[in-house]
Amino acid sequence: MNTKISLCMIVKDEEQNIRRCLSSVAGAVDEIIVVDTGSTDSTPQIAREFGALVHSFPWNDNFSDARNASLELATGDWILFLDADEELAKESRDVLRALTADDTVEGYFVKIINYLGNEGWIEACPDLVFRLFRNRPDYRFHGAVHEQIVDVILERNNQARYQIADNLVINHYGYLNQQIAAKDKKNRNLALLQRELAKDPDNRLLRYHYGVELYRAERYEEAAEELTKAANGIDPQTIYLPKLLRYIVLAYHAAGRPEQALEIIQQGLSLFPNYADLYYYGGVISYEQRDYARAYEFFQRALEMPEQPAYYAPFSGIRGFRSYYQLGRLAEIFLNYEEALRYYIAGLRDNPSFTPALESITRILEPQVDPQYAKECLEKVCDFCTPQANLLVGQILFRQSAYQLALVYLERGMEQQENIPAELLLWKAICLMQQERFLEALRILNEFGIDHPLYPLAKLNELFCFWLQGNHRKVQSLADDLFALGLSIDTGAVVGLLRDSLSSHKAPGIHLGQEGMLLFLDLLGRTLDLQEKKRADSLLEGLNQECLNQNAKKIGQLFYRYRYREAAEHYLHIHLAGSPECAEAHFLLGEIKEQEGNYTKAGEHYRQAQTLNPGEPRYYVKLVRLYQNMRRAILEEAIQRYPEVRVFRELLKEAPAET
Amino acid sequence: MKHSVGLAMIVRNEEANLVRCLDSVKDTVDEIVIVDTGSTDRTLEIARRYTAKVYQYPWDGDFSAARNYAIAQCSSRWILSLDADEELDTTSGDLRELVASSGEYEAFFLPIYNQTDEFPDAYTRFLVLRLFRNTPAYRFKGRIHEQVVINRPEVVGIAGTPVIVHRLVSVKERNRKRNRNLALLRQAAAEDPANPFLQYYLGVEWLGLGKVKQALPYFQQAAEQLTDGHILFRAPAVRYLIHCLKTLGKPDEAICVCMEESSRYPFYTDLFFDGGVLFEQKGEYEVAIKWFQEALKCGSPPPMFSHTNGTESFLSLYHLGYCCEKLGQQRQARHYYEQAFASNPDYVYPLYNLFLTYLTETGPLGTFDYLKAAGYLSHPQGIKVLGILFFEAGFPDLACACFQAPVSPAGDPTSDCAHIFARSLTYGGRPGEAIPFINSIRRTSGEIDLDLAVDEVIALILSNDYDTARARALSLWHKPEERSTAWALLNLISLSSNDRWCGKPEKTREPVVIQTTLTIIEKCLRYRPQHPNTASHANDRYSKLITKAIKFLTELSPRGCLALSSYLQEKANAVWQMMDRKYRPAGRLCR
Repeated sequence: MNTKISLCMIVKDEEQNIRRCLSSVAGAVDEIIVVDTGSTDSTPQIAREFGALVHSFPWNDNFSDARNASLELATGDWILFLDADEELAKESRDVLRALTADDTVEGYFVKIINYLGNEGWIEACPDLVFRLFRNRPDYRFHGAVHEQIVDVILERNNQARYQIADNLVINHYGYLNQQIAAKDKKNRNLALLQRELAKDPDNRLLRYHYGVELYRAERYEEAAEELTKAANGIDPQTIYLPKLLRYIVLAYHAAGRPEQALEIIQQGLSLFPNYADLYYYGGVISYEQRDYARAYEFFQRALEMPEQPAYYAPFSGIRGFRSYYQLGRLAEIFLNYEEALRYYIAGLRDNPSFTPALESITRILEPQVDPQYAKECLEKVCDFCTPQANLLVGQILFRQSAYQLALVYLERGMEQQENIPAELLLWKAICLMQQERFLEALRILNEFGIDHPLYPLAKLNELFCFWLQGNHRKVQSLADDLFALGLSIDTGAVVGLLRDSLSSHKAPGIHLGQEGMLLFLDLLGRTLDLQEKKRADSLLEGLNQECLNQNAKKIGQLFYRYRYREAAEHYLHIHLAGSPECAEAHFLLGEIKEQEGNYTKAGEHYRQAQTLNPGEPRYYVKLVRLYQNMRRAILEEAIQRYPEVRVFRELLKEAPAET
Repeated sequence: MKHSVGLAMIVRNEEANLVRCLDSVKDTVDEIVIVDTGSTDRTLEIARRYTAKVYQYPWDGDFSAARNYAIAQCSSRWILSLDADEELDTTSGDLRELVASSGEYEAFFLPIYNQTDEFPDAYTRFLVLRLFRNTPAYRFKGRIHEQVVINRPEVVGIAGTPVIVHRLVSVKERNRKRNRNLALLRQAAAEDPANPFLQYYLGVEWLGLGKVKQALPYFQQAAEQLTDGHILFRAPAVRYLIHCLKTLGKPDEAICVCMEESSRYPFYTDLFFDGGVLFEQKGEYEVAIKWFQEALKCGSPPPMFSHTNGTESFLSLYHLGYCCEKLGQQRQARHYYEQAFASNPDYVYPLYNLFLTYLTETGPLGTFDYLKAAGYLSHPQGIKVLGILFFEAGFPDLACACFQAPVSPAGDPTSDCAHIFARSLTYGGRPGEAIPFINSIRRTSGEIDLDLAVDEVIALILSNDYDTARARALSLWHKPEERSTAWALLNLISLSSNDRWCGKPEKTREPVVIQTTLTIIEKCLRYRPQHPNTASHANDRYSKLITKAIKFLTELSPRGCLALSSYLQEKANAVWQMMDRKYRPAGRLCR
């Protein structure tokens, strides 16, 4: 016997979507019931085109009532419920018939795939929803916001059998175009849920939804509390328990209570030992707790997990690029760059749009040191066939101050694409300046008209361009132009500093605020990038002592980055005088001393860094390598001194390579 | 005098112990009777300083006869019987008061603490009948392990104090007595084979000689035959039986005994402790934890049950900590260690574990802050242990901070941790303070040992006082047995002051020279620059000295290079192991 299937839906102003939805079920269902809650567009007409019975229902702030109105009109044996922004997947049309032919089942959880526009790529996040059930008069929706029918079916018919049918797939595009509900909508939902909960305090599902809304409203403490309440004493078979557990973890984590989050993860894993998301968040939290060993275990487990069932509603990339990326970060913490690259590349293979992995790869390749090598490696990892790809890498390189290589990719991208964003043109100019191609740079900078929002920045760079060439007069006049524009105090101070640094009489040192310091450090770095050490010093002379002391560490790091070890050491010592407990400064001093070949002194600094911050694996790794390098040096000297003793050569051969 | 007490003792060759024994009781008893059974040392002479009642008694292989002879010479109303290696701890309670309030009692059991280790509270408690009215009916019986037998238990009281303390005796002295005792016991057992007391004592003597296998059957028989009426003997017999089975590698049989006996005496703390230790050794930490917790619940067992002090508290707590640590429950483990140390600060072992778990987890500074805040540095014993631990773990500056805590004994040059304090100053960035302190150690104790002498020379080099350094090193050179060490020092002084060798030592001296130099390198590597801006050139002195030492070893010989190379390999491995402990699961990332 052939069963009759009714599609039921409620709609309002869905002319953009409803065609896709109805086309997907045409011929797969036997009748279409559309309840319209007040469309002002062509939604009802389109529905009628597909042979739908369209019924108007005045909106009364209650989703369940509207949905139930559609059920009242259905005459089929089974109900399939869809929203207008959903569609039945093509391959599911036949499945639908097979499922409804089973006499023993009252309803099905089916798979929904939520498409999310996120971080520049589309994510497909599966979940389970209850959308296919027998048409019985007492099976009705309830709940004003999160209308549910499952518990109604259970309540009415405790013999009811319902199954999971994850071969029936609904595609949901609703999250793609619009951001999840605006804030006032969230608050309205919260208020509605709170009211319902007051009426029905024992309703676990309602409390779960309430907790989720609290979480979305960023009220994490309360969310954790409500969600935990919803989970206490819950039947472990409950279909939404995995999601509930994950929300509790996320809420505790966001509320700054990692211990509790980890505890929930442990409990959750004892119930669902294959739940990849829990491992992943366990890893993220352990990482933040600086429990790196545990984080490593968690991410490894996340990767090992099998395909996740749809009712876990797994996030995308947990068993792939996300965990690879985190493992890459961990490997970097252990100074194991080879391993880190392996993980990042694996991440990028899994999801070529995942730019954080690409940024990390680029950083590890040190493109500012050896652009050619970095370029070769990047070409192996990435596909540069699109202009976007070239421009993207160009930007990544620019942000990492690898101007030479950034220029290569920016130019390549610009050759292939029209309409280059102005900001990228400015960046290109900066890259040109850093190659001492001042004329070309100025040509681009001059293109910016006075009305352009980037005009002041272009002018500032023009000024910097002349400053680098020591053109006092030009700098003076550009500074006047800039001042005439009305600069912020900090920017003005930096401009003044540039100007005064060229003049022969010394102005008193100035103090820069945070914003000014950022700009200052950027210019200082670019000066050092051009190996203009003297000019860099003249810039620093413009700062007062207090400002120097406060920023000594950053200045020291900059000098170190550009291999001015002596200056770096000088500023790091200034920093340590004020902050003797700074492990990082000792670490850098250790590196400097090691590069100078003063192993014993380097060792002292590494050990002090390790003492001050014993949780940092880098310091241990550095010490191990230091002792190994000392040993190599001794073996090499022994070979020179005692050429007749063969054992030293053998030992050296077996020794770990110099690092 | 109605309540007069006389001490009656028999001695032979006890010159090493007698003074302490008699000093402990001389103000408490009214008369002292000493019967000598043939001393060939100064025993008699010492005895006469305390009493005129010194008698000779020809040894006839019968302890009871000798003791009864001594009692016969006493005129006091009560008899106290002690051995020369025992003392009466009169601070624990007053013997006279006990006697004065004796009422109907004819005799008393007194607790005896058998010391088992160096620290003050390490003892096992037994009860012994050593105080009784001087009545002809109460006399010793049995040739060996003689007892005063009183057949009416209602007239024998159990006194909690005063305590008899049985000191640790040297193994040699103990064995001398044991062999003699064994001969006597065997003779007695041959005459009375069914006597379970003799079985028990034979077990004790064999065990004392370290012959566990021989001891086992005796304890088995004793435990079987002795009844609860003789719990004074049955309790220790059972525990010795457990001990023997454990030592002989039969933990399961030992556990069976623990189970049976603990259901017979569910209040007997020590059985639960023993059971806990057995399960712990088998690696069944969860079960062990239950047994130790049961021991804690029991508290002290009744006085008639021999009892190892601490099984009801610090010993069980320490083992609980250990089991938790093994199970990866670090926090719980620390909690137990803390309780263990708090309940007996003289029992320092928990401090070692506490220190290590903290060091691994929070690093040295966190460890120091925690230990200080938790009060471990307000106890001299804690200061000493932690000072040593910090130095050995490579943090001489923190060792100094321990040794300079308010109640620290280390500032006193005669204290037993003055050396390590001086060493901590030397290598913790304060050699200038180390030098006068080492001088004061030398003044108060006349001589300093070689290690400290080396440290002194290093402190002098680090302070650029090469002349004094050379003078000190030369005085070592003049002692033939320390000449090799001096060679190393003289060369380090010379290389430090003018970058020249002082002279090459003979080949045969090389091993010592190399070892000395490596030890110096190792200690200098413990220095860390903490205030890089204060006199920055002074901060380079350790790394300079290490550089010179490395140069010295490299130029010395291939053997020197080889030693350095393996030393550095070990250093790298040590850091790697520390990392491995800390980050084990992420092991792949570490390589």
